[in-house]
Amino acid sequence: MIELNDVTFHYGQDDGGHDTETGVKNISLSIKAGQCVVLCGRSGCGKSTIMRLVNGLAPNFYAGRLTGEVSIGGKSPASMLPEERTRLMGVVFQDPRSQFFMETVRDELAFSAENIGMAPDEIRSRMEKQASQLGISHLLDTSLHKLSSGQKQRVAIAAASVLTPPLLLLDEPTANLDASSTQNLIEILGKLKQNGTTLLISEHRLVPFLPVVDLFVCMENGQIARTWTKDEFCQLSHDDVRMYGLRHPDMRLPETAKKREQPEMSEFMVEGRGLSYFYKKKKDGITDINISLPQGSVTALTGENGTGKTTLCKILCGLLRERKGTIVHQGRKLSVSKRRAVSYLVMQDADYQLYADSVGNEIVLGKILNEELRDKAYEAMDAFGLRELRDRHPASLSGGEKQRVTMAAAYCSEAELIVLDEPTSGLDGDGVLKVAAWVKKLAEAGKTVVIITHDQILSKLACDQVVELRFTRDVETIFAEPGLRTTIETANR
Amino acid sequence: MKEEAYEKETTRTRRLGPRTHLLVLVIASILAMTVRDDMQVHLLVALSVVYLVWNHLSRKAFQLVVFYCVCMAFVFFMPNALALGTMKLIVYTMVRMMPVIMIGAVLIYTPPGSIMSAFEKMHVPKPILVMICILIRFFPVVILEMKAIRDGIRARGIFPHWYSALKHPAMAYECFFMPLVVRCLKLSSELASSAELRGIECTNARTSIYPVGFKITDGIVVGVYALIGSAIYWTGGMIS
Repeated sequence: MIELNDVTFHYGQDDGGHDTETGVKNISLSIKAGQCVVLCGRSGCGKSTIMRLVNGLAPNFYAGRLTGEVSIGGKSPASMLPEERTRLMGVVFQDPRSQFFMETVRDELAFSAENIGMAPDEIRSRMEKQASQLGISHLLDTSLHKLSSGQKQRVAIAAASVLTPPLLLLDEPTANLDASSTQNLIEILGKLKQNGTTLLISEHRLVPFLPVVDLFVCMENGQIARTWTKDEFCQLSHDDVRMYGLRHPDMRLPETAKKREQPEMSEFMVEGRGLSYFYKKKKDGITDINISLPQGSVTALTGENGTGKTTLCKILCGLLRERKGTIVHQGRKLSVSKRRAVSYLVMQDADYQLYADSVGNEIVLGKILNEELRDKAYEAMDAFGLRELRDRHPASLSGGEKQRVTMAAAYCSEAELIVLDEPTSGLDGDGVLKVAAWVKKLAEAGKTVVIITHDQILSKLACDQVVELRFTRDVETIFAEPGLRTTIETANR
Repeated sequence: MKEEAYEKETTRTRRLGPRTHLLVLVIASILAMTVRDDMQVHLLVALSVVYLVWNHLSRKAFQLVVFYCVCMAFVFFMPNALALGTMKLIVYTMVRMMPVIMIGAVLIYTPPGSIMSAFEKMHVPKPILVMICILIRFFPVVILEMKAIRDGIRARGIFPHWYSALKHPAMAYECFFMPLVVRCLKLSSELASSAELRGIECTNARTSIYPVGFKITDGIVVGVYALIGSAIYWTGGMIS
């Protein structure tokens, strides 16, 4: 199906300073029809480039120099007619938001088929078949903006596979999904594979794919470093994969970073009592939630998509006004505007939170610059390894670097409560370890940290307590990672 | 389940072809530019409301009518003071263009796919077609992006109070537009590559799951709109 024969690709407009897109070297890879191959490796190791070579965007859309031979079903993807290519492959991008063209799910599913001029009746029947197979029939007339991340992912896959292409390419499909949506996704991929679709997936979370995968291809510095079959992969220990920067369930922080005194249950804590909030439009929200966050502690807030994790954090940060309940800090009630002043929410997408013209200015943005602040800013830059980057424009940084800048800004700010929204989505194993270390740094500086995350590895590595939100009303006592004990708070619709 | 069936029913019956909306839009623009009296504008707005409601956009119609009334009230009751003069002029222009805005709203709620097919039937060249489609697609996304940026600014605690942004307008401007530009660049490149992979450049004729033909109903609707519109135009001098 897919043949890469000694392929080398260099991106064309290389203006020197950018290290994000280096291309690939001497890739030889052969994927048979009906196989499922997962590409893995560090961020920037060339996974995306391989995907682009296979779907023909490189060198057509992303200019560059290509040597060697790429062929899909015997033809070079870059020289295919648009019709041919659309019929041959479906592509699901990492961020489904940026690939949706239409207003409603129905229109979105029809888009590719309309483009190649399929008869409307056939489009409708294919659409219904695909929608029922992927369990989105009830969403057909829903606006795309109203879907949850899991639903968006399913719609994106349905839209890419409505023409039943023999090849499906997926770029980090699980990055924004919780455990059950991931499970769901794997089942869908299993069905597609059963129907004979060849799957090429680029991913950081590898273990969930075991039920469908045939081959793991591990990349490093633009080259194929190792390949493992499913059985071989199951035998690997963390030490085997650490050198490739892969995620592994047994990941551990280096000993030096690990040492940290457990925060005591002091009265210096942020406490939410009986918090409730309702969204009028969606008719859901959170009810009667109690949560306590000791100063200098790290709390993981987990739970399925839609249980109200983000809502709860927005209330804690003063971005939403609670309908009921109070938030108490050091025994005193905190008003909404006070909360907003003493908190910092690091959004998942760093692009929304970088405003200044250089990294240095970004970190001190909105504050009066004096000696003390300058020292603190340098301290923050050192702590997050940003010293060399301090004159760069934030927009020119890579994703991981941008994230570090927002964290350094949080470190430097007066915010006492720092909330991180999914900090490790789309990060490789090294990235997860680094985030865990930075989170600990924030906590050591006396900040109270809350992490909204689906990433069990991260909550194991970095968090003092885990709070899980659930839809039901049952209250359970939870395990707490080292030391602290809390109860699982419950949310209900 | 019942609701779903109803939804399907309305989607099927609602759709006048997009070319109908375009024609009506042209007529509405000509009328809006040629009428002189406020009364005529009121009547045109009323006519457009009927059009909106007939296209199952009652809620939008209601919102626009309220907006129209507020603008009218502003124009009538505001004194002609120095600074307000320009403001008043802008609002009044908006009031005059209201019939066009209303018909435009119908077009925005038309599936972009069917608009594309309609344009293709009118032999509009493909590059322009693609541009129109992406433009229509881009507006709602940019609005969502702007909301996300506002949330981002608030989440960083840069402007903790509602009046903080007013104290530093230059910084507020920068904080808002810097990320917007970055995001728009990124989004447009991703959208374009996704469009390419999904066959937007296919050379064959595009189909649409919605009716794009110009049927008798469409003709009647355009005729009736033109007729009532011109009646409003001719009665103009008589009323005032």
